[in-house]
Amino acid sequence: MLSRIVIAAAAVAALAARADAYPQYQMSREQTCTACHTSPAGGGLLNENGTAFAETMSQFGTPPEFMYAAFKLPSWLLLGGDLRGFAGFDRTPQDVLVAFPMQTDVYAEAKYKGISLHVTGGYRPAEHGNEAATHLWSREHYLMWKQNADGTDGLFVRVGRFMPVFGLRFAEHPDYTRRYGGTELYSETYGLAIEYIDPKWEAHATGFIKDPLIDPVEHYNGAAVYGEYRITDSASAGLEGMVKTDTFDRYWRGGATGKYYIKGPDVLLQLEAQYVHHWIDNNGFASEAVGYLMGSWFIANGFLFDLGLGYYNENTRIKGVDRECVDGNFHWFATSHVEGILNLRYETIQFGSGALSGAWALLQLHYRL
Amino acid sequence: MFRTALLLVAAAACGGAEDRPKNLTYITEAILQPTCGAAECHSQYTQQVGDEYDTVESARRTFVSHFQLTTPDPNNCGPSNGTVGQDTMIVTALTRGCASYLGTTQNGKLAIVRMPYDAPMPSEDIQLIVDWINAGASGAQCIPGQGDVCGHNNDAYTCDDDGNLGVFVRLCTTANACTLPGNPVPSSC
Repeated sequence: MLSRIVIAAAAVAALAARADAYPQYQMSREQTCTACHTSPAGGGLLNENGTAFAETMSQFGTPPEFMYAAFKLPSWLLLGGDLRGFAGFDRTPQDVLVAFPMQTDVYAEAKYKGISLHVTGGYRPAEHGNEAATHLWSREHYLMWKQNADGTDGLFVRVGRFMPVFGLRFAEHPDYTRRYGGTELYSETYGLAIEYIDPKWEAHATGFIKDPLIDPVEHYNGAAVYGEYRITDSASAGLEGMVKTDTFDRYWRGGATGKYYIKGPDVLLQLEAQYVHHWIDNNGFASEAVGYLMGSWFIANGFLFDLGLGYYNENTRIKGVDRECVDGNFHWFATSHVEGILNLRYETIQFGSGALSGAWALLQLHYRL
Repeated sequence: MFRTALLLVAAAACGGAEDRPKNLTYITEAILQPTCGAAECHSQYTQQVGDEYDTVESARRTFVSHFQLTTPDPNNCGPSNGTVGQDTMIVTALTRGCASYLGTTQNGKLAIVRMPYDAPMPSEDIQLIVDWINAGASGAQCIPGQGDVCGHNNDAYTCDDDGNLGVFVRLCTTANACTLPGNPVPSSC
């Protein structure tokens, strides 16, 4: 049993690693990601409204600023960070207990008028055989020009290393539209993005290349576009497209997104669906389909529950290669800085066929600096 | 028109018979990369236990240099009583997990559970891999650029640019000198 625990700790990296911002708050609380975040993609550093929101949405409040406002930062500098770890149970189908650090990221943003430099640094899973040089890295670093220096909308131009904006960008990276939908964990890479954000609509276009400096996750050169139109204060619709190519294969992704907020019960529905034409050198192509539906219920101040349904078919022409999942995420925002999450998943291959299945139940602790 | 469209959609949703290519390029790009090559697992980025499956070249290197397509599970796992190909390291890992299958390359023992760790691989995909191995593991027979390599019967071959055994070169004069298929011919041959 002990060996299983130890080995699980080493091998469970598949479940581990960072999470991003919560798109659950878009439409239900704010209209855009930039209402709370400094990045047009969302995630990472919070702006003044974002920190205030972190306080109001938590159960017990506490000063929401960086390090509880223990020291005053100059107006041109923003600092932040996220620490996450988890422990729990994984069925593989062997039963194992798992525990792993997920994220230790520190963020910094220095700005001068409309120009800013963003750097994210921290721990990463080390590369086998090159451990000494790969415990730390900078996942994101980019230079950004913002048309409206002190505002949250307008034109944004970014150049550097970051994740292209594509689709709904769910926080949990195992969600199918993240894992199989073109924005896999750690697939940040070098690129140029031109983005426009308005309370009523937003558009993002990114050209990207394979990272020439490290052994990367993203092996492709390509381009991604995403546009979202907010039809009413409680409903939005979006379109997405991505092309990326490598020596042996090429992906064309196309999809749609939608959000609908139901005010009475305080529930947000989010849906993303993609069709993927995956051309493989001299072997024809695979027609893939990816979808994820998430319903989020804001139960009470400080408590949020997500129910997610995922579908991924690696080749719609072949029977038996589809997989489905049901996810449940219970979030408890205890204070402005502390969050506890219970992540649950049950996954099947070809639902209803009696084929193999997988499951996990993980308790996650998140501390925002 | 509408009925035809409906039938096409239904056919696409249900899927059809297995007709996928059985070669390294297809298996890597369509199956291994999305299933095994996740960032924190067997990607170039992390290379857990030294294995990479997210590009054709890295999958070939892993299969050949770690003997994953040719060596039966060395111990502890035992035979599965299945068809030929099912007791190779890669298929054992995908179907059952076992103890110490990594011992050959990692110089030690490591107990593992079934792979992929986070979610199972569809049986159809595993069967495609088994069929590909039984058909000779096209594209993963050797690593190009290493000179002459061993075959399966103490013999040596050239290795072509596609990772397949090429022209027969010689039979080793020393018994059991060339026993690691796809790997460079030792000087004792």
